[in-house]
Amino acid sequence: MTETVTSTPKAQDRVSRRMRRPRWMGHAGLILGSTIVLVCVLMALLAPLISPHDPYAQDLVSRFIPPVWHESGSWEHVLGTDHLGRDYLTRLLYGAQISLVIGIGTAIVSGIIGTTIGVAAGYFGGKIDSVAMFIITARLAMPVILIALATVALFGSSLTVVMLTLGLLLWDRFALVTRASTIQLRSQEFVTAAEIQGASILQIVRHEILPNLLNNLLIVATLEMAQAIVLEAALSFLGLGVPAPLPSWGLMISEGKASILFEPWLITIPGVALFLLVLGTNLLGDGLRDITTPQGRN
Amino acid sequence: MLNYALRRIFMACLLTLFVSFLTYGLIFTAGDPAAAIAGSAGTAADAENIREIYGFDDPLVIQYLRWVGNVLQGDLGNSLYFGQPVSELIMSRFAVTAQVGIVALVFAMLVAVPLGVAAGRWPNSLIDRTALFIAVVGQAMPSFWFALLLIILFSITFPILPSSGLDTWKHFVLPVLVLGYFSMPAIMRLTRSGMISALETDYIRTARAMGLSERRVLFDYALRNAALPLISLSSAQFGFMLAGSVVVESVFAIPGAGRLAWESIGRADLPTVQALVLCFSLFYVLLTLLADILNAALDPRMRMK
Amino acid sequence: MQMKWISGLLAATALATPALADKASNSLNAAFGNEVATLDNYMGTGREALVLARLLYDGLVSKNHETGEFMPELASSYELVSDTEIDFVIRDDVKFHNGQTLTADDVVYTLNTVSKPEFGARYQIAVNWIEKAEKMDGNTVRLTMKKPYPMALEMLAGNLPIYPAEYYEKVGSQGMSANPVGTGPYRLVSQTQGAEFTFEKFDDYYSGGQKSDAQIETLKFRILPEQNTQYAELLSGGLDWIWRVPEDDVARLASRPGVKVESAPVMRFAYLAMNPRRPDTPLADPLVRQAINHAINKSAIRDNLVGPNYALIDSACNPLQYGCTTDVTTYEYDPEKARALLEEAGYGDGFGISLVMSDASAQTQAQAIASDLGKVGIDLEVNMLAYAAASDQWRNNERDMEFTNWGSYGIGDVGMSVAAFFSGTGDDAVHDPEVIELVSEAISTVDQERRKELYAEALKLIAERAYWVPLWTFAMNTAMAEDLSLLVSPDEFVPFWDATWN
Repeated sequence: MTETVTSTPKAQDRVSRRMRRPRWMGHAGLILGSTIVLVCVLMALLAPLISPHDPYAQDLVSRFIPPVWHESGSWEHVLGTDHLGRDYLTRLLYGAQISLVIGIGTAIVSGIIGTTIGVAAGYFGGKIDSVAMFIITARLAMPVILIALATVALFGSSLTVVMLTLGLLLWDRFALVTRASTIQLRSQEFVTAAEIQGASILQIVRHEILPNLLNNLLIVATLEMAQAIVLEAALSFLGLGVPAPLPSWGLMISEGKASILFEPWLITIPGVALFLLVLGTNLLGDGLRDITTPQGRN
Repeated sequence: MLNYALRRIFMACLLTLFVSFLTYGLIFTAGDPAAAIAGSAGTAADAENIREIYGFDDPLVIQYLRWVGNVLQGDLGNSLYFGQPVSELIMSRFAVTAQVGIVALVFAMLVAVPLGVAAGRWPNSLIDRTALFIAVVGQAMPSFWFALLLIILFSITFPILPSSGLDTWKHFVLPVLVLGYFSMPAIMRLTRSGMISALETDYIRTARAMGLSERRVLFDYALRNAALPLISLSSAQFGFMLAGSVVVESVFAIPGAGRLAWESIGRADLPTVQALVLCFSLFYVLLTLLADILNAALDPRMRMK
Repeated sequence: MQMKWISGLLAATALATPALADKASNSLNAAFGNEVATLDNYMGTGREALVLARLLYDGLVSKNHETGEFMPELASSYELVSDTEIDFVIRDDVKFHNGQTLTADDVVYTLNTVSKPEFGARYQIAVNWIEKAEKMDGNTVRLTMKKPYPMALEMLAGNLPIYPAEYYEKVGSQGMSANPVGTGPYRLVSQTQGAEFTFEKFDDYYSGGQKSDAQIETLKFRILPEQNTQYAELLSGGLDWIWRVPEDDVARLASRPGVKVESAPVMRFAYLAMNPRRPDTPLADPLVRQAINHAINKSAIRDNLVGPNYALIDSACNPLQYGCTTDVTTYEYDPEKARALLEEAGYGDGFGISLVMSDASAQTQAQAIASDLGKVGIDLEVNMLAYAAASDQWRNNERDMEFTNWGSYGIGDVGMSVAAFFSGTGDDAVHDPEVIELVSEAISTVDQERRKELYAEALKLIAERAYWVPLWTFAMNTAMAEDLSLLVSPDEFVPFWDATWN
């Protein structure tokens, strides 16, 4: 919660040689991360073109066929089939779509909620800030599971509902970061200057504050994206995630749990994919932060 | 100072009340408590009978106030599912979760803090990158998968550790590993960044210039500064712990509070859920309060807000 | 890769015969996946809780599942004095676990107490037919019913255990659950609330009942919610018995050394219920409902996803139940015909409906059903919810279909299935006046032949009008140590007193 995401004035001023990431090191993490994410995006975009089968086509006679490297596997189903006889490679490719949609969608929803609360709290301070902190603490004090359960009971289970739920659960870091940054920015000269010139609050927020927040927002967004993707898997474990038959990696992992002893590829394959995507997103976020931090802001 | 503390305490109470009422409402939204008690073999008539006995037809606010009234008299009620007093139930379950949780947190700290210190001391080195990698791996793998893999490895393939229960010290190993592993990333990152910023201060430069040993610089000065945010972190970690406990307790069949929370929510066991949420939010709010007051006591500027 | 490695190691690791130690000490370690809320039989709502209750308590009579007769248990004999009265002669050699002797007073106390609505017995149907019980003389008790109730003996056989009057009066339900005292073949020696229960054979158990001569000395039950953990324990010898094993895992477990899997038919059956009363619903049209019946490939789903021992059914009941006629309209799998019917009904373009369910283990089947319906143009939205939410929505007419199963409390009589869902109560989604009339009459008729006729007519109508898609009856798969002998009864209860080590 109090992880240093933003650059503090001190660190900005006192950039020592140690702090400045040697260019090639920073790039390695960033490059690796971006590559992984890019691959996933490509998988998602090209899925309809390169998939050998239909991700929803059930074949009850061909259930639990192992991947091709197993003795009873075949090239018909390169990564085998699941408990309903659906081709796993196809579902893996289509799953990239869902994971990315969930990640990005949640980041957007939580970003909007969090930024609104954070900027309002940081800019106005006083009572509004207290109210905002109250809401943030209340949200953190509430049991996550209950919120998810109630949301599903109220609105049913769907991709949109899951994004909404996750968005409602992950906005706190956005709020805290934007609040801290806004507090800082607010006291800066260019903001005071704009106020004197008679600019409206909305204009100030839009032109002076938000652009300077963009950096941090992006970093937090990538990290929250990774969080969302993993959280979806956890929700699927509890039966509150994306509904079947959607080929979400989180759901595939959760469905694969029942077969972990005897058909372990069902959980391993989407598990590794999920892991790589989350790793990549984290590296991307970390890399962005490291690249932008030492140079500081105007 | 006192004013500030009192204000914050008042807010804390308000917060707890707010969360508690919201929870009550959410349970009803999530399903019919009477049907949950009657169970899946119950008929509509059974559910109706139960509804009458427990007064579920009364307006929500009335039911909630009734509960609050009882709590203020020290009565947390009986579990609708078990029929036993909620206070006893929660205490025994929390004792178990706390046992595993504390060992897990200690384990996580024992591994994460030194790693974080080393990573912060030598940023961008191999140690730093390895530590960050471990952090990401910890966050990227769903915990139930990790738990089951450990069971397959250490209980089935090499039967050296038991896969369920908490009878001996051996039973603690796997659950602690899983639970601790997921707290490690946050602790490590925090320690690392805390170390980095602390090591940059004039304070530390002076200490170095004065010739203090590196070890003293690290542990006596830098770490102490980094420690403060850790208190705030532990309140967030506590939340994670409870959520993580649900999985660990389900997979390893540990009768703890996390699983109780999950199961009670699912079967709309109102008194139990209410009491659990109360405990949880109270604890969380108190921790945050403590952190805030500590911060304010040490940094007068904060109190101005 | 991982698969080969693991299975290789599993094969190579000479798994010692599980439970050698348990056999030697004449004890049994079993596990349940569902929690046991309480050991007070009247407040327990899960099957597992009731299974344990049968170890602790006895009823006046018990049912012999092979012959269908009601055998004496705590009552040495009974006599149906009139349509509404039964006299029971109570045995005088029965002891409670706390040493006290069973008397007619305990019987009278129990029956009178549990039948009061304020008592709050969870399953009202087991107790709400009782008017009163009174002691006639010495050890005879007369039970009077409110109205002639054809299933009185069924209920008395297992669902109405007798409690010690003084003790229960003193400690109440909580005390009974913490320290149960009954007349059953096993008594509780220790429990960790909701997690573990240990029982020991009750040496003073009377002889002559169906539960006497228990062989195994100690029974230990643990709650293991995660199926994989159950398997891990079974394979490593920590457990000797688990049930509710999904069909997919049966062959794999059975192939392990030292483990065997048995299958027993039980009263439970699965079905799809349809709600024809929602506003503007396509399901109001019987042709649509018939089309749905034709569209689902029950046979393929059963063969591939459920299990060979699950028998397909066409009537809204389990053929094992008295009164369940199988001579009803059947709907073969015929997607073409389904399309034709939908066309005829004016739904050639298809439509969307929503289904609700709460059994996580049946999700795969629901997916297959949705897929079948999709092929004839019906878009089925599957909603998997916790039981409280699911039943709430179904009973409030918020969903079009329900996919669920029903155990009938293990009772082999359609009075516990058809009557539950087609008599105009809160569980009746259909409210068909003709069916209700037939069923209502059957509920209050004591003449068994007449009841059978009435139910047969009702079942025929239900099938004709396709209110349900009856699916299959359940077979309970249990995985256990090879040397153990124990079979699940058709009423889905487990007779641990009959278990033996070979």
